[in-house]
Amino acid sequence: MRAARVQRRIHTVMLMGGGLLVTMYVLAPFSWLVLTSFMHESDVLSVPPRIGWDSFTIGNYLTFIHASGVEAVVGSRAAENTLPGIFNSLVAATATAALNLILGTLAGYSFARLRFPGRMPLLLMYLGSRMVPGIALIVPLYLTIRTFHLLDNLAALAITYLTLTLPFTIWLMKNYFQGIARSLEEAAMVDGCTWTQMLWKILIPVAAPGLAAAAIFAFMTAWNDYLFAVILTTTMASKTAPVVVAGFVTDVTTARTLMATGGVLAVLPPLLLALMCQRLIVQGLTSGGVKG
Amino acid sequence: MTTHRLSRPLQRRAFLAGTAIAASGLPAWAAAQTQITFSGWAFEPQVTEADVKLFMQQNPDISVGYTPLDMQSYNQKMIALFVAGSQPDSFYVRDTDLGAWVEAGWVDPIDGMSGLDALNADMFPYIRQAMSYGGKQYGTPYYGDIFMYMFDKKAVASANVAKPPVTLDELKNAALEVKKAGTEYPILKGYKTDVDGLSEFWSMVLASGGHLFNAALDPVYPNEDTTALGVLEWLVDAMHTWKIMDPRGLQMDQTQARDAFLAGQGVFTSNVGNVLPRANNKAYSKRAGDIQITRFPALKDVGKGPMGWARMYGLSSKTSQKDASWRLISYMGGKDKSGAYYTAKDWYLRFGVGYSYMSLDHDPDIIAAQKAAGYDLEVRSQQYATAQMRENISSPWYSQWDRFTQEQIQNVLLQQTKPQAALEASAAKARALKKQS
Amino acid sequence: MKVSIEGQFQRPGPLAPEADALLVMHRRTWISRRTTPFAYLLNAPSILVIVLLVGYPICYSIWVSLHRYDLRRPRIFRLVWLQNYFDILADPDFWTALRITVVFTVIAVIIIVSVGLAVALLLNRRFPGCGFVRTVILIPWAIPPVVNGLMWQWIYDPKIGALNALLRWLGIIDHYQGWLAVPTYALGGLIVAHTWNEFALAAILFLGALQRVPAELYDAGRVDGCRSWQLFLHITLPWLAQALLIVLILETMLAVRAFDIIYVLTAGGPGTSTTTLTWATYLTTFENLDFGHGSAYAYIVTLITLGLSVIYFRILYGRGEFEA
Repeated sequence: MRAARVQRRIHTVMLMGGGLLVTMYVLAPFSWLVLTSFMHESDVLSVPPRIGWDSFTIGNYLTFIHASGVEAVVGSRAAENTLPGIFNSLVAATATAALNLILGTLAGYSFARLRFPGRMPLLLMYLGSRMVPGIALIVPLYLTIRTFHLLDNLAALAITYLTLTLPFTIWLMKNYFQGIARSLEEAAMVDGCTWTQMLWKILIPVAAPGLAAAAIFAFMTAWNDYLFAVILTTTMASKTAPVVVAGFVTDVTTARTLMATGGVLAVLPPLLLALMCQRLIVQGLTSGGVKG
Repeated sequence: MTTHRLSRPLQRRAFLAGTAIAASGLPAWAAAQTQITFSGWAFEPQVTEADVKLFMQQNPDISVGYTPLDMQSYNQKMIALFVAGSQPDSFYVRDTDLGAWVEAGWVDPIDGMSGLDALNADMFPYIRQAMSYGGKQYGTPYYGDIFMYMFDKKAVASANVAKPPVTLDELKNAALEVKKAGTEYPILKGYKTDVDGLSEFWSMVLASGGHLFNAALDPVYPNEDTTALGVLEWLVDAMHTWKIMDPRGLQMDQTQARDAFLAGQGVFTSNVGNVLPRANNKAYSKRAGDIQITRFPALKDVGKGPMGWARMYGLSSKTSQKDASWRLISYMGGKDKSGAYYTAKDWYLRFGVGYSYMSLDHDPDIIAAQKAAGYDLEVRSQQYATAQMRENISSPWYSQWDRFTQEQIQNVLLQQTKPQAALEASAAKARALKKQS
Repeated sequence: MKVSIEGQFQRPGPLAPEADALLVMHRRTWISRRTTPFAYLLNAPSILVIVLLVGYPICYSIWVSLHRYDLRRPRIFRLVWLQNYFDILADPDFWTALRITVVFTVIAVIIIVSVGLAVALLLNRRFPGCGFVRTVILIPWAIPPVVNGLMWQWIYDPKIGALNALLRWLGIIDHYQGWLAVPTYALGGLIVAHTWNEFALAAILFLGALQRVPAELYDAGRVDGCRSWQLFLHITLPWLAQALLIVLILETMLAVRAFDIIYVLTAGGPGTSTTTLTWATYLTTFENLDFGHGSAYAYIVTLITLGLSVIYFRILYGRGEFEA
């Protein structure tokens, strides 16, 4: 008995060690960005970099929220646009995730549960549409969006990102639904549920972790895109965070510390979102949901 | 022109309206206005915005919609706009792209437009050349600048080097002295592929009195004219034989090399002209006040200058408002209503962005700024006056050849190939590209 | 009743008895909804969006790839069929770029899959702090590639970089190194930066799949006296097959297309040591304005990605068992 407990304790320590390792792998590079954002420019450029409390400043962050600070620095327009850009990104990415969930659930269900002619070709067509590099599509896509009168519009970004993510969302949802026992549906049918009720009340709650993973995938893809956003947006009506941040990280006159601050700011919203969804992704399925 | 205070940035609300400046608080005669559009890469767009605003105050019959585009992907965006036929009436053009854009039918010549001759008469010759293609002129200058050779005068003096080097041999000896005095790699230079990656090479060749191309745009290097070979061999020796040039420069572009130099690394470097005011500015530089320029080092001192280049305002070939657009770009790249080079002077005093007009050399504000920046004014004016444009800049394949040659030079510096072979390959590439076009 | 329904590529034809039964159920219970129209109804929004938005761009770019179309010579727009493709295949630069792309992709995907799997297996267990780690791993994913490139540029910086400072502090190096100035290191540096940015996606997808492995299976396995590696081999891995398929295809696609990171870190150099096919596509299209060859390059990249995906598909699709 005691031996088993000791073994379990060793096991836990090993797991924690692994967790520590992963944390370090992730945080070591990132912490450099964060540190830079809290430093004075001259300390960053020192060899070796001077890190200490005396060089700590939150001035870089104030620059982004404080109007007078913004005007004082070079690259000011980009700094001023960072927060609106983050807001635009949030809108586009959230819309992308929401649309993905709706369309992905419907199509994913059809692949998981229904046999129909053209099933495999259709699935492959979805995936195939994603195999062409964006660089080749960007100019004709610009023409398409212009035809729809959606240039410089967040809606254009959201539907563009939808087409980029949907093939994988459908596939993810297909896999999730296939992992769920059919008996659940049959029971619902017997109880006289309509198909929509069954989907809404039975399938979606059970597939919640899958939905959350798909949503995060869609959100992050939209959040990280630069190539499409830079071509399809022109003004702050639709410019997203990566475009704004890239605009001044590549500006030869901007200070490193400010670039780092912009970078950190652009990471925060999806991170907060992930924090909120974290439980949903990892929460186990209700026991009746899956049968082996 | 008396003041350079920037009028406050426009309200974002107005900016959000897209082609927005036109919408901000216009009086009733707005209806009779000519609407034109204007775009450029977003280098300090609030300055351009203020300039455009002043233009509209001075020209109330024209309303300009100015849209800054992302700097990094300016070309991609413009290409999408051109292909879609929705380009603005006037826009920034890089001299490296001019040939390609003209061949593509996107830019119109401006010869014969009113007031152009007067502007041209005062312009540095290399800038005017850089804006020309096939005998026609395609723009007014946004800015022009030259590549400059800089050094830390304190470090050089403490290594007992008496006079600034002006030949590559003198540079080598000076660098060896500095190395003896304790600097591992006296020469710091970025060789990562970027838009200015070939500029030092060009400058050394041109300053030596050498040529890469003849008038027919056929390559004359490496055999007919051996200057390029001499320069490249010197660079390899500097890096690997004498070990006076930092091999880590291969991973730095011009901006990274600049930041490292400003942080106190290296003693000699070359970079774009506007780095000098920055290098002697305490806000950006750890060695403010110590940086000086010298004539661009060459194989032999023949009194020739380095490479110069220009960025310009071009007119769209699709514009329906050619006259109004011309008035805009002749103001942006020339004179305002009062006859002053308002924008050029503004850019220079704010950011050290090179001006294109010779008479500004005598402007008291500018001279004061140059003294404050620590220039050796004699060297400076000699270098600008003798600067030359890249000989094949007016070919539609310029940037393709430029990038290929940068790769070749990197291979030489990595010692994966010999200077002769690399330059042969580069020349062969030029011939092949010329044949295609 | 446990039936593997994904064993074969499904062709139209007689329906499996289970599905047939369900079809009957559909007919009876949910009004007379026929399976095929119903399936296409469910897919209609997705098909519509994809066809409307990328249908034209895909057709247009294929069409352009069959033409001589150089924006610098706008008057020449000539159908040349596959000549652009032949030109590229005859160019030694293409083969260099292909080799670099393959090296980059293979190593990056292997790292991402193994790190992602290891992290997912770890986070599937309960231990103090596991919630924290689960959140932390999302950080790299939340960093846009442009910012990621910049961050790594500062880390690799030969003069003021954190990596040099760290390694010297640890006594591993005497002098600051130019990590991206040496061709092999440059490619390695790109791989490290790329995999760090992308591994979280793999970890999350694997974790999601692991969460669905029914605990009873492990219990049954333990009762049968399986050791833990046997459990992993016979229970965990089969359940991960479908997630692995998605991860492989996604990550291969992302690695082949890596662009921002190259743009910021190496610009394809030094020399051409980090010039991948995607970078070559970009240069041909947007620097050289040669849309014909640029599009052909893009479709060669497409074919390679597609080919790899089909291989993955052949190996993995239908593996793992689902309750039907």
